[in-house]
Amino acid sequence: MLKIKNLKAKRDGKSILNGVNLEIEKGEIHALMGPNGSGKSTLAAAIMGHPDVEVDEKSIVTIDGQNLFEMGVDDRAKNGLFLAFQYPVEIPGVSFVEFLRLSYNSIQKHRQGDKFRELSPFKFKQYVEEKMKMLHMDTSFLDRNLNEGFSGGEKKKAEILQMAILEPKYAILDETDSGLDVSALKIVAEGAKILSEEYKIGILVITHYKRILEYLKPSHVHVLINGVIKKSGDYSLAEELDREGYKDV
Amino acid sequence: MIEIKIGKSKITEKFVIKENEDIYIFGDSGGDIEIEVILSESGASVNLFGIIKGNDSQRYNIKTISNHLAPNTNSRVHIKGAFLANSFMDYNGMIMIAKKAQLSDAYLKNDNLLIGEGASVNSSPQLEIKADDVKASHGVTISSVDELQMHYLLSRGINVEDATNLLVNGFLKMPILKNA
Amino acid sequence: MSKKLSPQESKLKTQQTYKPGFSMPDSSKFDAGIGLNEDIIKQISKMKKEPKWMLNFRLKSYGIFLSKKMPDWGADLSGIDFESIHYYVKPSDQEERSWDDVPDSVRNTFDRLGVPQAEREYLSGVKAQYDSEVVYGSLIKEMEDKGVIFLGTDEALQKHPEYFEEYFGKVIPPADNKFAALNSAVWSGGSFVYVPKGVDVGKPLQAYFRINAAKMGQFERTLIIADEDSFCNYVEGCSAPVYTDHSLHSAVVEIIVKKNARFRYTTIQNWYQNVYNLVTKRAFAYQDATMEWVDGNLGSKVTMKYPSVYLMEEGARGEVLSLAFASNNQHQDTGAKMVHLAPNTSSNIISKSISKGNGRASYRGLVKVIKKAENVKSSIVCDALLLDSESRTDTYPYMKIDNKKVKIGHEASVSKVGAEQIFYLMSRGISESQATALIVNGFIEPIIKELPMEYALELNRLIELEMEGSVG
Repeated sequence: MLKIKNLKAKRDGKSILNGVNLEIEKGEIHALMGPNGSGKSTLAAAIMGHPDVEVDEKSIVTIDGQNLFEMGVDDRAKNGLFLAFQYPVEIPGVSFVEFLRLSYNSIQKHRQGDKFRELSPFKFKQYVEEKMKMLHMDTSFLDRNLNEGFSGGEKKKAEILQMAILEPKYAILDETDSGLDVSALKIVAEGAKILSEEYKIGILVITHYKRILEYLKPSHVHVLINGVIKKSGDYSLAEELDREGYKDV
Repeated sequence: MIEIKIGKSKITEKFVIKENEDIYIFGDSGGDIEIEVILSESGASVNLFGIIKGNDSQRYNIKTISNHLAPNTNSRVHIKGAFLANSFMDYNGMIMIAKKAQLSDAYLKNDNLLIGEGASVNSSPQLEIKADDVKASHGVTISSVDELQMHYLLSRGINVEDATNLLVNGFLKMPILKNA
Repeated sequence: MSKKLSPQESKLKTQQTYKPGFSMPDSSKFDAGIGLNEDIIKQISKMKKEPKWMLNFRLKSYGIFLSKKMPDWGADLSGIDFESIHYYVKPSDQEERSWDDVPDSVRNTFDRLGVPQAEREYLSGVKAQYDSEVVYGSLIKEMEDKGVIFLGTDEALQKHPEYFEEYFGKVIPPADNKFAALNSAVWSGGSFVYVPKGVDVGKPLQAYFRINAAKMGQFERTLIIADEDSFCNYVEGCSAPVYTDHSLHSAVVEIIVKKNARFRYTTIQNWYQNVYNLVTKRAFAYQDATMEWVDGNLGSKVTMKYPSVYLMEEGARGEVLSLAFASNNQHQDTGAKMVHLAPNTSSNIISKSISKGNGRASYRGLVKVIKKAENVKSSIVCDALLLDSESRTDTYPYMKIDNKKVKIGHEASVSKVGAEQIFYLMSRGISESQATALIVNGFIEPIIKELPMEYALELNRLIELEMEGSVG
């Protein structure tokens, strides 16, 4: 279970999250919606450990019992957390596939301990190509540098591909649908769904729009307003919000 | 706003900037000038613009120093020069960021158009950076009139001399800085 | 405890390294002692059996060295004590060091880089010779078959004096600067390369020079002539650390690239932190010729080095890719110089520097276009990365443009490693020091990709090592 307990956080001294509580089981898909400024991205940033977010010391987020706030950012990834960034940063000169291999090996080493054997670049590339096939993605961005010169759609696809390679326990998709055209959205959303079913990944989808939820069909929908979850429901809540907006929440 | 005209005798100025300041330097008869802007208080910012026209055989010696001594300070220096026959400029533009001036942002640009025969320019933009959490960059371009632009004007019936003047004046108009 | 070789053992070892057919140098021991004077220079020239003109050249250069002032710009050279330097010791007489005397930091780096044991001993002066026959013998034969001349400078002067009479000291005259004058007076060792007309050397001339890295004398003199239409890629130095007692290295490299030829000279320098590394490197590029310098500076206490290309005739092109890594207590004062002496020439400079700890990386460059050189294009990009709050960087470019028909562009920027980038990489399970290493390696990638693969790999690993040290 990914358990978020009384999460309070500030950015630039301003309180953004004011006590968020949420539980996500393995394999479940939850949606987090809410108006701009409600704190959705800050929630993702706080859980992953963004340096600009100050988390209150009483807040707790655990993955299968382990408190993430007692760990560094890389250890959170090793313990099974994945964040698909809304704006994946570009890192010039760093090859996409080499970065991914390093990430994969770092996480696998933690999971397998002594049994761990690094995948060679060749075997790793094969592994990546298999996953790309699984997600119906083509291979063009493998040979490029990390997010450098990637279009919006390519960046989002690359994030989902990373999720497929790293096989986390829980994943947060931060507005993964923003800026995508219909075909890119389909690949990204269906990809997330395949991974959720195949690897029982618990997913928290942060979004404004119903579109991506039509593919992912979350079992739980939460609405974040002014830094707290004001209402939760099932998929029909998403449809209601789509029709009527947030004012009644 | 401060305006300074470069004249026959050498001008040396030091400005201590505590808040914000815009400084303009103009030259159209040659001359010698050294300006230092010292950003001494946190949050201070300065724009230093220079519009330099080198008419026939005029010579310029220009030095600007952007000196960041406090954190969170900002400097933008943009010196533009257009040089006709046998004119010359020696430009030295220094950006210094002291160790305690973290989170400062400094930018310097020197754009030069060499128009006349025998026109020449020496440009040395320099950086001395002792703080790491800063943004500092500079750029220099030196070129002659753009041939395509010239061709376009000529194709509209404008003669070479008038076209050159048009292009030079356009180049020298209020400098627009790219955001570094 | 160092092991001195007896004259017989020394002679035997010398015989083993030289192939049959090479002339045998004087094998008696020779150490000129410390300090320098005309007598010592005369002895050096006599020992090497040089023609009279070379002796005169040396003596004249010595006079120039004495009369020239130290440069009043650049790095701090006040630590150089000219009186206490050994100006000449025959390589085969160099004393061998004990492995125990090699500093831990050097040994650790060898471990982490996976340098083979035999090479480690060689690079740290524990072994004076390196058995090159098996590995490099065939490479040398390949070169010979193509007509490429590839010898130590001492030997080349004996066997091919005509090239020396024509070109030696012409690209870099002794009066150029104080250290060129010093080198001109006491030079010893270095390489001579002649690439015949139309020959494409094929593989980089490299392996041969990796083994010579540790033997690099203090005052190497290199002369290279690339004849018309030839193509050659020459690589020297190594990124694994080189431990030496010599605290002053003042080399001179002169290169002539004739019509339509293309020559690339790659150096990776990682001298131990006690060395003052002051090098004058210059090439003359003639009609439609291309000269490329790839210059990597990782080690030494102070390096002052500005590879330059003089673009002598139309169509000539010069390029410098410069990489400087200034770690604790290091000052890398490096850059490039392009002098456009003819119309329709172009130059390109890319400089990437990294400063770590209290290291200081300075870029110093010159682009000069003379009056008659019209239609010149030149582009300079210098980027500096600061890794710590103590680190320092400077940029001192000079553009001296005397012709209006030019397109000159220069850009420089200074930044630190982005927190967003580190966060992104760590969110993928990568540790902070690995993340910093990745980003730093990405920063220098445009230069790394021009290096032969083993160098590139080793350099990347070296950066990773440095990053581990830097993060708590």
